[in-house]
Amino acid sequence: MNKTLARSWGGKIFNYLTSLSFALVILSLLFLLTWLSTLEQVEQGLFEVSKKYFSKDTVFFFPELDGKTLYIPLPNAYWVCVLLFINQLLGGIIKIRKGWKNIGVIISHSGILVLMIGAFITAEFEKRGNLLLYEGESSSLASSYFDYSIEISEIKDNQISEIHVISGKNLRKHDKFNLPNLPFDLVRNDYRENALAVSTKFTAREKSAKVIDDFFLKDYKKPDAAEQWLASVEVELIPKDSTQSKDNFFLAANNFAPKTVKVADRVFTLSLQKEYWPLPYEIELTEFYHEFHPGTPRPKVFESQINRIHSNGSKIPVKIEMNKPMRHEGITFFQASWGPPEGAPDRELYSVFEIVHNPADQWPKYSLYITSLGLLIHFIMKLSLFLKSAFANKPKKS
Amino acid sequence: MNVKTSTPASTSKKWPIYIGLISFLIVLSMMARTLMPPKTYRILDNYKPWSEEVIETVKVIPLQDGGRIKPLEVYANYTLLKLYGAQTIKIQKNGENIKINATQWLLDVLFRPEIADDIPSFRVDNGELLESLGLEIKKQRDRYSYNEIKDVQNKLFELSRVYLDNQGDEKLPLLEKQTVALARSVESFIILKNYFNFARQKFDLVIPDANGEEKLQQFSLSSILTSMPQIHQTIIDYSAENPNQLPQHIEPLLNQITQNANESKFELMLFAPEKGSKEWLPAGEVIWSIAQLQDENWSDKIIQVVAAEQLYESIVNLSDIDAITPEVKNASLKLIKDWNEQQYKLMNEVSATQAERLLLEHTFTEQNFTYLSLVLFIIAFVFTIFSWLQPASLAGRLLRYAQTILVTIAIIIATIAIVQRCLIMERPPVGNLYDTIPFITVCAVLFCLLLEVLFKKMKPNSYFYGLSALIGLLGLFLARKYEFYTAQDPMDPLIAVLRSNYWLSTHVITITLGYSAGLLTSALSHGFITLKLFKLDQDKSLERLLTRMVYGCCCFTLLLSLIGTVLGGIWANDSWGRFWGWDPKENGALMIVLWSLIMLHARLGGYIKAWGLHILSVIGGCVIAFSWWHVNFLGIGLHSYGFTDGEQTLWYFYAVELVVVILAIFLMWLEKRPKKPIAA
Repeated sequence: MNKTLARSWGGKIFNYLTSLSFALVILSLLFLLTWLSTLEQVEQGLFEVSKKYFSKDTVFFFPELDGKTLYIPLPNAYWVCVLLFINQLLGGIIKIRKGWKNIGVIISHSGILVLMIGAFITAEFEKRGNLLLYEGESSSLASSYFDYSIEISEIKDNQISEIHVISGKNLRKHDKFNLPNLPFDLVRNDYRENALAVSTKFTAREKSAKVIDDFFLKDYKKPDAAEQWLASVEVELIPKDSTQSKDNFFLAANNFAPKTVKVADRVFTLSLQKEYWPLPYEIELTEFYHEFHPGTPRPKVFESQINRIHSNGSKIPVKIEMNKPMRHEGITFFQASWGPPEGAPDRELYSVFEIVHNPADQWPKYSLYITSLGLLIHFIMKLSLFLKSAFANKPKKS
Repeated sequence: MNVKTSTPASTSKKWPIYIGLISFLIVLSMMARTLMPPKTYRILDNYKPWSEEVIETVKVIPLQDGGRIKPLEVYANYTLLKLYGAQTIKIQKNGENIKINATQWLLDVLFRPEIADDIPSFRVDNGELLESLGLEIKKQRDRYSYNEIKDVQNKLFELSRVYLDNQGDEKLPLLEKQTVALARSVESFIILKNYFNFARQKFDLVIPDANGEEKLQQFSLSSILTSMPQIHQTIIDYSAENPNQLPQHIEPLLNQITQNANESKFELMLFAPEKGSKEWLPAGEVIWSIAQLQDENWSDKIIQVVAAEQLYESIVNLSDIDAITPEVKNASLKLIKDWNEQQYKLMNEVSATQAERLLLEHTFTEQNFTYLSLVLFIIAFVFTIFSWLQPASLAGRLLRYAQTILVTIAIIIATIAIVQRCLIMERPPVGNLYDTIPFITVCAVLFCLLLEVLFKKMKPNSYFYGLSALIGLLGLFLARKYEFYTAQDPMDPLIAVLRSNYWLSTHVITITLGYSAGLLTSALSHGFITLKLFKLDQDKSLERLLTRMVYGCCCFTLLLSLIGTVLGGIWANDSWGRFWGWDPKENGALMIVLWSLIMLHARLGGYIKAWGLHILSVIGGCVIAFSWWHVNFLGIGLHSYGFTDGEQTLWYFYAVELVVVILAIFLMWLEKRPKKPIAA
């Protein structure tokens, strides 16, 4: 970079972004964030801490220690990683002096960049869900762990004719939903991550709580496992025909029956439930086997024998067990757990699969190969030089 | 041979070294004392020791416990450790000191409960506990026998139930936790001492003899069980006319059978399984299945009960070996050996190497190479200290040779112990938290010895042998403390997610090697600070060498930690479907990688020099301690081992390291401050 450019603001910023001192600042911040997030998990749980420390929705936050807020603003690790990416790319690959001496460093930096790109892809595009099957059952739908969606089902001749879905991502982000194929639109007034719709007849309510049809939304303490949260939402149904009246109601994950509405002589049911996404093939559980270490509640083995049924009718038998998932057509099935927890040999058991769609699934492996190669090259070179100079300086015999 | 030595400091400057070394020896002896069994000698004049021959035969009786098959002596060791806090009990008999090992103690409990009741089997760390039960205490921390506690045992059990119902195990305050622990220990003791009641107690029946005279006769359980079909028929016939009632002469029989079965259905799984099953059975289940006539081959199971009764009789006969004839002694020993052979045969039907591994475990336990290695490291380090005082003298050289031999033997036998564990458990060397300790210690020592070999010609005073002895003794001391503190068999079977030899061999080994390298790096920096503190390196060559070594070891730590961490992520991806979950253990590993990167980049950029590198390296040792241990104490995450006690020791470690860091900063400031010019 010529001197004029270097002295310009752009040049100064570039120099700093590519400098070792900046790398040190970033690494130190990451270290601090990792440490604090570990300690804060004890109180807040992993899901809350992940949202606070590692999601792109916030830029700065205040950490907490032992339940007390530390008023030191810290940058979110997501954005720190973005800066680290820039530093590595510009400083560790582009600006660094090219030569045999640095070849190992360049390769290992490249490997880390591959890992980080993979992480960004995963954060943006990964989909996770689960599937519970009893022996003999089959399904081609995965259920999300965390996302709740509103399902609007049109009922014709006492049967569900069509299903419209407002996805969980949209439900959390937006509050107005224009539904072109339906005679109404929806407005989301209040979304609660862990609340139940409870009756005013049985539970005292706060004065500010909104009551609809003798029900109100009551927040509860969130369980540590986020997949156990029960969401609730207050929804306003606005018919497109302005002569028809609006309707307000609650939808809650703990509702046993959906909400039925009639708009423009059409009948719909609305419910809030874990979001489903379709799989490219059907999974049939033919056998589930589990074994405990004798005389202990410690699981030794649990594995599922399944048939993967494709649209052309072919059935491929596959065994899925711990540490040996099934990967097919970009989706991976893991043996996650089983139940019921108190299952005895003569009770019917179910197998639970975790299902992940991640375009960058194997990128960490590629990154590992590249980074290991780079580190090995660099350190072997350094070690050779060191040993050479050490033995060259050894004391002579008297 | 090159005998280049550092120029010895003058005698007047050596006093801080002597003080430092003596202080260290005092700390070392305090540590060693914590490993020794308690000195209290309970007087038991009526105690009859078991003969060595009997103990050796009984030690290899197989049983199933904690999900795996192990020799009786291992079960005994950890049961006694849990109850008493040590694996030997010292008593006095007629003025003579006797050590009762765990196998002998278990034999007393099972086969001579009246004697076992007087042995001080229970450790109580807090006298308040017994005072709250209404007992008079001798000392705040002491051992008690069952006879001393039995009068308050009901109150103890009641309190324990109340505490657990209210709060559950995890959240109890200390005194309540100790109460629950003592209640569990007493319960285990009672179960064990009543276990063989089925063989000990006879059935008294009035039966007509050959002359028709009714006489009281005693019958064994097995002979009663043989008549179960007739007993069942009698009950059926009687209850046809007398619904919901039992015949008067049958009811006490059934009550006793039920009691015997209930008393022997916990703790000792002595009966090898039948074909097709992997679960060993306690005597109670076998008795109950016969009593219920649960399956068609119930009559075959009676043979098992008979064999157990004979085992009991044989061992009871052998309890006073002087009182029996040689024929009885030999027959009894043979019966025990036959029992073992029969069990081994059944074991091998399930897994061909099972019996072999059991006997290997017996050898492993007897040899106790991990403990022996610790002793050798301690002696080697003491020799090291004295050799450093006069390195150039004949005594110094002899001590160095001795130190070298001891460290070499110690590391060889420590490695053998690790290999034995691998063969017994049929898995790579690291499968749980305990396994990490000896493995990390052995690897750190080996790395240190490698440095010694590489740099011997530069610094022939065996500094790295001395350092390796220190690392070895600290690491194996930690292993022993952990084993004694948890009082659990560290060879536990792996849960489903860990049952992958591939990942155990790659990820786990690499990560633990990373810990070893990081701890060695920190140890080298402690050496640097010690040299600076006592001004031991006049020409600074060793300091320069140490600085370069720390840099090199830091590179090595980064290489291993980074590869190990990413491998862990890949394993997590194959198990749980996500590469990274911000689990505390994963975070700990990442922190080591980040800290190593910070050190290397700071050095590369010239932001730190030698002092800075060593100070960061000492802090790096704390980062490794956090990742290795502290994350387990948080009690959260997929890697939580449920081991939340012992955190205090870790805080002491952090405090000590903080003092070292402050000292280093002070020494650095002293060294760097401008020196006053000498007046002309």
